[in-house]
Amino acid sequence: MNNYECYPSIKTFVVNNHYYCYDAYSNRVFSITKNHLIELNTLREIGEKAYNSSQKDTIEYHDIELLLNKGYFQPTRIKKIENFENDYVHDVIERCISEITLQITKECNFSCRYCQFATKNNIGRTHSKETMSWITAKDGIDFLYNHSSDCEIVKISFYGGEPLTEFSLIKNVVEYAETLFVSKTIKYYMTTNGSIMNDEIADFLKRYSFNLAISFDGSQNIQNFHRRLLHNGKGTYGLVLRHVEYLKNNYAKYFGQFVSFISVILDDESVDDIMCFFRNINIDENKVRVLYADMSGIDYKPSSIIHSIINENTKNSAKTNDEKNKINKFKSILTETTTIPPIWHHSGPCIPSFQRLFLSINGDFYICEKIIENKNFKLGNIKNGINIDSVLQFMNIGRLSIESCLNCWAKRFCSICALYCIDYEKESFSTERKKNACKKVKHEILNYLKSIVTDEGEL
Amino acid sequence: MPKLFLLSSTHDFLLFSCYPPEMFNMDISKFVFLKENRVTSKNYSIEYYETIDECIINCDFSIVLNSNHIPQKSIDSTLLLSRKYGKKSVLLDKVDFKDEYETLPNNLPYSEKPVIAILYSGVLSLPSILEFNIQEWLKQHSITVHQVLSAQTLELKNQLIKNELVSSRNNQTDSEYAYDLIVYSLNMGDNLQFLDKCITDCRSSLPDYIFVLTRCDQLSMNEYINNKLKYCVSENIKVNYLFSKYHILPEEYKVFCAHKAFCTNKIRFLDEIRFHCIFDELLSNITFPRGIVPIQIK
Repeated sequence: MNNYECYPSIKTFVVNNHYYCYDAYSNRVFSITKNHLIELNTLREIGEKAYNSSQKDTIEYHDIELLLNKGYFQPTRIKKIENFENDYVHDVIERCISEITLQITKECNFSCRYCQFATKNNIGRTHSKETMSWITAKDGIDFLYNHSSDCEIVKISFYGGEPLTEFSLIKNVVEYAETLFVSKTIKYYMTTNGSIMNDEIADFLKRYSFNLAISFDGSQNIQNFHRRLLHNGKGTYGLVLRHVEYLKNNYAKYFGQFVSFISVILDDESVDDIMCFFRNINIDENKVRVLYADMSGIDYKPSSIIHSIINENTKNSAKTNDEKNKINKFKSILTETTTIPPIWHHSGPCIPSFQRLFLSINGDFYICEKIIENKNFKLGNIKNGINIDSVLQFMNIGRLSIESCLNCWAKRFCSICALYCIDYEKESFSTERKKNACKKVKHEILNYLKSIVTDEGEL
Repeated sequence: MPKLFLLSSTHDFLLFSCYPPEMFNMDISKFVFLKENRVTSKNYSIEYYETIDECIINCDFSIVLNSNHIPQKSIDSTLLLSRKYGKKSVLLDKVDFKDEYETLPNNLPYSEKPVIAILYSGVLSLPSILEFNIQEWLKQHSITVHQVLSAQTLELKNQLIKNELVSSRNNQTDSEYAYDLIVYSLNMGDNLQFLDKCITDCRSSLPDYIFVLTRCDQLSMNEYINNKLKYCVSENIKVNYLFSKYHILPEEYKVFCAHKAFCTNKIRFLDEIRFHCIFDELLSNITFPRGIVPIQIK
């Protein structure tokens, strides 16, 4: 239980010479005077007990005292940092695994400038000719079958490299799954670079209603700058656009319903320009997900937080769907009136294995495709199953920073997942990494708060 | 005694197995179920088979609980094979929760009859389990009731009657005053959007007993309802909170912690209805003929 000293979780801030305060305990934002701000900073630093005993005879002191008596600015009531879903883990692993991502191959026919797997590196994942064996893939589907009793829908995702380089294996997996699952809907997902397409593949994707995400960064200049063919270094714009048009024209209904796009852009590129490009080729912008490139992967950004900070002052006026979702989430949290329970863990960590269980080509399980394959972060393997202790470790990363979590003013908004807390060089979870992630989250939340009080943002 | 093959999700099977066995027109001796949805039940023994073909061969009767997620080819195959093997099969459509306010019937003699109100918070609270169980229990105690079921329970019940799985005769009577008790259900909305309306209506019905069905993972929701009821209904009214002991996963509306938690819940659930609350605190007073009222000596 909690033996740490707890202080009020308050954040004071100034916007345009106006003073404000956010109280995590009551989840409310207050407009205050400069003197109140000074008092609240004192309260936060010395705690309620010492503050009460200071017995100052000022208006501001009495104001704060009054609010303290009304239940505002209280320290956390958290007794234990623990994920409330810990108790369910065993059942989840036994009965509720709804999705598996198969790393079909490590081979990719593109060499993208922001993809760190395209070159030799020391972090554990590099594109190569290795592919998953049929036995491993089949065992993966069997594992899903045996651990999804309580699911009405199961999801099978294919991940690469470029998964369509192993189309025949994908076909076998799908046909096997279709015979195995009797009472469940199966949904298929795949991200492709759009370089491999023909009638057989398109018919197959349509037949099984594959949710297909095509990585397509935008105009000729951008696409060719970012994404080049591995074997000759030539641009890929024409090739990908041709396949997109082929699907759009010949499989219009399927295209409309199941095909989407991922556009990875660099920080000096504009979301507006990307959206304009897709509109010009008659693709609805709701089908496009814009992600900022970083050095961790091709189709996702592990640290969206970093980019939201970088982009505060950039020319991008359009918000990506991810950003809009984040703003909506922030708004909904800020309207909550609940108290923080005694056993608490910040949000962010998922239940590993539950939603995006990743099966590597070697038959090892990982939390999701975003993590680099490293023996220290394995959840288990196809032969021996999933190790609950590993799962619990991922779910309870709050233990890395108990004291700072207890006193953190941004605790209600935290979204730090375990992936942000890994030091790949040391091959372990790292308190330092987590602290860095904390700083970024707090910075982001503070910006949201500021935009609320000034009404300048789109909140 | 027939062996029943249920083509359904695990969740729907568990729900089905929580309905009182007495309400069905047949004595189900055993369930036949797909291996992919393995589950255990304290009420029934279950045989597992891998394919629909095997399930049909080994059952006497089949029911398809058709949700949007059971592949059509599996439904077709069940119906076709049942015909082929000369076995009866029934297709029941899963009744979706409707997030609409169910108005309190205004023509009932609330001031003259004991009233049990069931307030439930939408799609995840599974009111049909309580509604069917309370109905059956009252029937077993020869207590006649005018029961206003929730919309989805009513629709499900109509399907069961239409397919002759339950009897259309029950302890409910529509004739004026010729019943001992009023039981009604009101939907508080999936996000409690009808809560205020619901409580206003509930107060006007002068309830003697209120069941509140919510989900246990939404602590804030429970806290909120608790506070509202605390200040809105008389302290003499018994309020029983039956939090659904399920953990619901985001978006999928799926149950996990599965049969273990579910069965535990069921036992507690029925115990509370049968032996603790209603009989001791309410129904012992209403089984007397009209005009005879026992005096409570304090």
